Amino acid sequence: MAIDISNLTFSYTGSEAQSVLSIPAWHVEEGEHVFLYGPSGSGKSTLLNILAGILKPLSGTVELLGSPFSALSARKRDEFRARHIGVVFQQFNLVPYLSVLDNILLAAHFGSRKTPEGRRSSADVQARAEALLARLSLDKSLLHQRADALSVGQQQRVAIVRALINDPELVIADEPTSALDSDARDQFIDLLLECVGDGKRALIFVSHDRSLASHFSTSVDLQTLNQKAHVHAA
Amino acid sequence: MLLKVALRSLLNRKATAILTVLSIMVSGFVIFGVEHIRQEAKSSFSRTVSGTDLIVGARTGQLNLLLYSVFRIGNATNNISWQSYQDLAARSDVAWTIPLSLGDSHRGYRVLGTSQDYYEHFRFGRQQALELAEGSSEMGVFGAVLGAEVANKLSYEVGDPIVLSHGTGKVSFSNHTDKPFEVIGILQPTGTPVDQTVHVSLDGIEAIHIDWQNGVKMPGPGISAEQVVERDLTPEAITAFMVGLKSKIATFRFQREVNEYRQEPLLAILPGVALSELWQMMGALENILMVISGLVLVASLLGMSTMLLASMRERQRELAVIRAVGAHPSFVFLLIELEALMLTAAGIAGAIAALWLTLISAQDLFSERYGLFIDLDFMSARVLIIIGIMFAATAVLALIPGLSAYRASLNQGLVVKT
Repeated sequence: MAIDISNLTFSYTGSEAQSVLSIPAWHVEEGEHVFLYGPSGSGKSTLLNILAGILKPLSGTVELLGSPFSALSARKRDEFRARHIGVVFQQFNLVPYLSVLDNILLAAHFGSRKTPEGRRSSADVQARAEALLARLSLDKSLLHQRADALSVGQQQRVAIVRALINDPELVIADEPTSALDSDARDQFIDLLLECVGDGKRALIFVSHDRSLASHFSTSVDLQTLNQKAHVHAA
Repeated sequence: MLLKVALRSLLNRKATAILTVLSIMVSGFVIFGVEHIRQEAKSSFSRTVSGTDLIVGARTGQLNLLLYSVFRIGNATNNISWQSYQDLAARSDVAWTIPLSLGDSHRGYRVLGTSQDYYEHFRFGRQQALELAEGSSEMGVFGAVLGAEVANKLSYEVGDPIVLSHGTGKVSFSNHTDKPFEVIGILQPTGTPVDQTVHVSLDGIEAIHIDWQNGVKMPGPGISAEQVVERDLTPEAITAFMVGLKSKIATFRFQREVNEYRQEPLLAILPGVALSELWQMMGALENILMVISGLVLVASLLGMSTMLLASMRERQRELAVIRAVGAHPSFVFLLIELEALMLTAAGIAGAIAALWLTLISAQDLFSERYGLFIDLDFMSARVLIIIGIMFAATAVLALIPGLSAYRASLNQGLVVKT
């Protein structure tokens, strides 16, 4: 199972009464592509930060890929995120002053295993990045450009490359299409789904735009998932 | 990777980074400069004269006598009569004396009238004697022995004629053209004011002034150089003299004898004591300079800290990205620290380069104006310690933006609220 949440609650103040997130149970299978509908106030950011390991739940457990993620130390969660989770934001996915290649190498740097055989050379990373760029119909000359020299659409596609460079089992996309126009939006989702592939890789695609749900096999409304959603929104 | 990100991040904010580096550079320049010059001044001072027990001149301030007799700075207010000199030099405690007669110059370099005893008894540095690079030191009446720098700067060789000028200005309107001197010897460099001195005999000084009175040449044809040699050239007065005693124990007794000399008001000083008094005067100044340059450093490092802290706001997204790809907050903290240290390193490198260039160009000025010989090599152990302190202070002050970034990236999460 890619994600297994049970009795999750979270509160920024540490008090149960002021919790903003309460999810009794949620499962995502390996290889499953989930559309998570999350309007503002539904606890979307909080859930994503918990799934990424930045925030720790107040109670309950989050298991990712079979490991007790929420029980790990902060440093272990960071390592886990680097190796097993790819993240695509709505915008500003890249460190602006680094080249595209360096952005990708940065992700590879944190995602590389500590064992000698697990560590890949930057040439390997570059070869893999070039292959991914080609699939996303981006020219490999972009690798040596500064990230902020790219158009928003290009940056979003580079973000896919960056998210997939460590071959993660879980990809989290947070409104990755909100900065794109409608034509580019559909194209981007198609490319994302193609690159994420079928295999074992799970995808959580979060958006407040219900019309995108048609691209995905599974669709979940965070407002029904999170029992505290309406409280927070009010 | 950390290094690369830090470097790119700084290059991305070139303008602020360069300004910060410049401010660190200025403070480093001041600190290294003050430190180096005080070291050099100290060693330069202490090496100017050694082995001389007392310096005797007309009654004046201790420092004034030291400055004009040893450093050739300033002028004597009064002279010592030849009789008094002869009388004191003949005392039983005295082993040797070196008469000093100042007041003329050659193209900005001081002329020192003295005797052959100068070459025999004068010592500098660690009891080093003067040595000739070429020629001889038998000055006769119209022979001149040049200090190393005089010969070098003015491209003189043994045999060249030189004309002395009355007074000590760089440009003089009254020259002793009628009685030229001949360069007979050039001394080895000493790193003391000797290098900037033209040495002639007391006879020579007397000879060029024989038809002068009260600093003005008397009208008329005067006495020619050939005629003057025949005359009695015993001077009427000298400016000062250095004394070597037979026994150090007699130093204070002889000093008192001089100070209580009845025929005319004289002053005897111990060069070492006068040097350390001079040094103490400089010391207070130098401590103030050190404090000021320390404060300048703190100000510039605070400026750097402010710059890094102010940039945190615009860098929130970038730090969120770095966190998202798996960086621990400590990576973010180290990134800020490293950026600060790189700025300081660049500032220090700039300060070292600037100081080196300044020393190269100011070396001559210092030696000509102040008789200070500044070595170009300023990387002393103390300077290295100061560099260490600068880096440590940087690391400490960078804790402010570093910890702020650490806490921000710990709590903020991946989604930066816009």
